[in-house]
Amino acid sequence: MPLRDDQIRRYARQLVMRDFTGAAQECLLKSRVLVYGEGPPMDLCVLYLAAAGVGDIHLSGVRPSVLDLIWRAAALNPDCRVHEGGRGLRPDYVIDFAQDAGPGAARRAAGALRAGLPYLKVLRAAGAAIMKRWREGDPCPGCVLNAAGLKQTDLLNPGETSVSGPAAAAFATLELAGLGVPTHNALLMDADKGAYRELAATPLPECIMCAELADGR
Amino acid sequence: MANERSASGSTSRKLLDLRGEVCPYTFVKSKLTLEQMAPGEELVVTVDYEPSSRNIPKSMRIIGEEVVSVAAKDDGTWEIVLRKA
Repeated sequence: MPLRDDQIRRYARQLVMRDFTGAAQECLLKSRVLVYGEGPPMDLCVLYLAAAGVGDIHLSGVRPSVLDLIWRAAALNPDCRVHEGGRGLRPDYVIDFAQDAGPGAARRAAGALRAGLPYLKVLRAAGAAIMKRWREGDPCPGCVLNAAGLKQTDLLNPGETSVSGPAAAAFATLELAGLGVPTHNALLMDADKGAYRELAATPLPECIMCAELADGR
Repeated sequence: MANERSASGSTSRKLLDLRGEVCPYTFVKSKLTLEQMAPGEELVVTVDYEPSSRNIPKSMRIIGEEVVSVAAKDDGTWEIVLRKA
């Protein structure tokens, strides 16, 4: 269905880009994204996805402020529907903000890969965030953190919050719109220094979670 | 939007009246219309917002589309002829 006049106005700032066609916008409007986790970076990611015109966003995970986020997204863009829960959903894209680099994250990554779904994981460390689009044969999230020499943390850094959420939304938006797959190397964003670099991590032979991920369990 | 034959009669032309629109919507609507057209087809865009008479051709060249002509009309509008690459 062609874009309506109000949609052309709403999405004009991305439709001006050469490769961002009307068909790409229509793809976004039909797409379903499942988001795991909670916290300010995830909230920002959801709002950026909503602003870009993702049709349905499903939030998986219990959080007290979910209604507030749903209202904010709806106010931002009436084309976007935000839902609580994602059980039984067949999404087009999975973004994982859960503060977990252990077995839970490895299982979610394996589940997404088994189902053939794009899986983007955001790992938080002190003052930094790592973002990685997983593929078969990749190390587990814990080993990616180790490769960066970082330890997982619950502490939030304002810079990291403002960077990782929108960056994850941008990666997902471009891929859902058919404008390319982001790098499979982990992208380390050092919010304190304002620096970015790519990490090439490999599975560790002795890591049980890497083995589970490789087996797709 | 209307259709007409080009002056030579060899190619079909679509007419897009964007009077009353401003940037960036003039460019975006022209771009979306061109996306639906076949290579070689021409789109005649009419605007009455002077910056659009400069911005549409400039942006179209950037995205690789051909700008055939830009002409100021006596009635305060501009006619921009684009050809789908």
